[in-house]
Amino acid sequence: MTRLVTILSLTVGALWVTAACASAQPLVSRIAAPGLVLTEVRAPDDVPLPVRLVFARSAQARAEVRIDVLVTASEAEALSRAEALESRAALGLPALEGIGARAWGHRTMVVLARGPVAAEVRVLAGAHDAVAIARALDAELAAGTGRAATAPRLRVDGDAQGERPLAVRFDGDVVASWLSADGAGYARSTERGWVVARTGPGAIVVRALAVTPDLRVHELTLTR
Amino acid sequence: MRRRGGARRARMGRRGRGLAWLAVMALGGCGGGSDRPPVPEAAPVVAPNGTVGTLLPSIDPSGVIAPAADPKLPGFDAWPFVFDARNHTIDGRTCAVVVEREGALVRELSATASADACVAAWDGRDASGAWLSPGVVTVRATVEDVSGGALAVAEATVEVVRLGIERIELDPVTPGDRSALLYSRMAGRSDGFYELASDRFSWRMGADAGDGAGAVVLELADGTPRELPAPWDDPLSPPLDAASPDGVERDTYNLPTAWSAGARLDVSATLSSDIAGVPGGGDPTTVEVRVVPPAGTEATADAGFAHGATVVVRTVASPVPAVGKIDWALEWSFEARRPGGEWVAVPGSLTTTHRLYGLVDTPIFDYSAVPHRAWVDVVDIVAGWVDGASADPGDVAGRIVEGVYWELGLRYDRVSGASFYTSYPSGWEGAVFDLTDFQVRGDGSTINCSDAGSIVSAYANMVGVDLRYHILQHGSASGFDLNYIQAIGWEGFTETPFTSGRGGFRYHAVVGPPDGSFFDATLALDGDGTPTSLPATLLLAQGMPADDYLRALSSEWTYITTRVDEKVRIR
Repeated sequence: MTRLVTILSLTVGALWVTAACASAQPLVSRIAAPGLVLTEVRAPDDVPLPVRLVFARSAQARAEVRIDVLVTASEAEALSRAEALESRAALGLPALEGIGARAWGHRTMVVLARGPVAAEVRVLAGAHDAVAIARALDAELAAGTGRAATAPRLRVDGDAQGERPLAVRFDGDVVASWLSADGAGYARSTERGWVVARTGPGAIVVRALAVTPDLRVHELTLTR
Repeated sequence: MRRRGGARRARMGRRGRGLAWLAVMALGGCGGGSDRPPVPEAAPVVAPNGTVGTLLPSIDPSGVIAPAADPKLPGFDAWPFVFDARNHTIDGRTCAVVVEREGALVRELSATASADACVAAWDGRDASGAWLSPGVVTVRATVEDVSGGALAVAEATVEVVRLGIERIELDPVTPGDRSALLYSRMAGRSDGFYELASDRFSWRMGADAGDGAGAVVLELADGTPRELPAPWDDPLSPPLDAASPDGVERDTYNLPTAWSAGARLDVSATLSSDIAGVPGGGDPTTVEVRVVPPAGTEATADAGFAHGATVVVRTVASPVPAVGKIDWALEWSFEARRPGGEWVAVPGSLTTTHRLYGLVDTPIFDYSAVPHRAWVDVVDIVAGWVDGASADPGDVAGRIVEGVYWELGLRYDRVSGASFYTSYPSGWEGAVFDLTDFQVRGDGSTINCSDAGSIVSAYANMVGVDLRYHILQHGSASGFDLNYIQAIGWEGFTETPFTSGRGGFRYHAVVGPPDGSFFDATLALDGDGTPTSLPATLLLAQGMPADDYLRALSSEWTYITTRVDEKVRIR
């Protein structure tokens, strides 16, 4: 998880830009919820799971809106993923007109597909309107997801055998990441980023899911 | 300043006069195996005034004078010195007891004379109130007449030592009975996992970088005894230390451990006799000291005390007979003797407390990587629910269902029946449960059946109960109707649980063990045998046969098919 409070504490007033202008910005900067700030971008731990954007009134406040975004390879895949998301509600969601290629939902939950993107808007608390947020999101998606970011590279510094964990770094612009490790160690998040803690001698296979500003997820592996 | 006994003895012999002198060395003279120390044959019995009597180190209800003691030992109250005066007329007289080292007075003790004993107690400090450093001291008792003249004298040589434990390792007698634990939010960070491996020391004392020069395992730099660590209470994060290589406290800590119910333990205590500035400086030199196994344990080998040595004791029975949380106290006491002498209890003891979590068995997952471990916060919750009542998988799973349904403050999503913490990457397989987020209710307390199934099964898996999730769907239609149910967090039975007034589920998730029975914390069924009508009798599915469950859930139960049989993946 990477908190982007500093760089992304922007209200919708600041972000509500025109689609034409917005398309020049990375997708992560163009998604917003009115009156709230983006407090967290949460990487998935597997593919094809979506990237989660969490919004709250302040960095310390509880989440009020979350938006899951899954950037796929095609419109068809995005539609399929959106249909799957909709089907996970035990009570079927009503269809929504005028949002995305397809959309379903109501004031507290909307699932939509637009272009290669499937998304889900959820209101967790407060009097927010998921439909309005979804419409704004759809407008941003209609402007495009932007140029695909360069895939980052994964680096694990050091080869210590002792108690000091190995620092993990990404070469490239990464807004969120998830790491897991198999073998003689495990990964954990720290205030200085991800580290890999050794649990014994032997190889450690590190697997990272790194989210770039275009909200694409890159799967990276490295053996140490 | 009183002179040393040896000089007095020589002088007395030369003078051939009558200060009754019994220099009875407690360390050497209290042996013999009887209840009462023998009167040495060579002991003079005639005092200057002609009174016949002896003044000997005594046996009293607490035993003979301990030849060694550690005044800094937790539980040390005082070092009792009881000198037997039964053969001496002491009534109406006074007695004095002093502690000396190498002829120098350390402390005059407050002594009392009774009909048959001269009694004093020492707190291990000198006249200025400072701790006396480890080493041999002489304790001298003198019976005096009304004018202060000495009538009889006895001495005991004893040794101040330092007795402590540096670290304790808890190992299973049967391999595999101890499981790793995982903290999920080290320093409050989401995904801040920290594993407590199953072979890690759980209890340790040590000097911290901030303690200053001279600090050692057992003592701070100024000689103050280091406090024994209490069990660490935060279930989300280990204790932190910025100076540690991995940011976790590694000097002094007391961390929980997890055990398969019924496990017996080997307890390995590494001993220390550190004194400030001198590691090992309080080791016994003239006496032997041994560790007395704590109650409920027995020594597996020599339990002799020496700095750096390890003593291993084994539990006679399991301290974790069932699923629960136990703060297990081990009282470590010591005995001392002169070589070849009788063992005498050393005053004081130290009690170490160890937090043990009892599990049904080793945690059971379909995945091996962290975070697929027993999370401390989850195990703590389940342990509280079961509270030592059972180690049976079905009972424990049933209690988890009750706990999730009644005690976590969760409410069913009556708007959409949508999940908040569970995702499906592909189809219905491979469900991912965001347990990290759920444990802090990051997305609130509203859930659906996928979430309830994830919670129950993840909690169960962590305490060693094999529960997998299943998806129930109508075999041909887009959903199935509902009988009367009461959704989690809501009052009253209804066939139409959704706020829209609609009823029926497109799907429903439940969990169950390999035997095919169902557990469900999403909803309570009407268990009165007529689930299609009111009134209703609340029934939680806690191991219900599948057909019974489906019959109670839906009038279309014969059309419902069960898909997927796998454990959730957690993150």
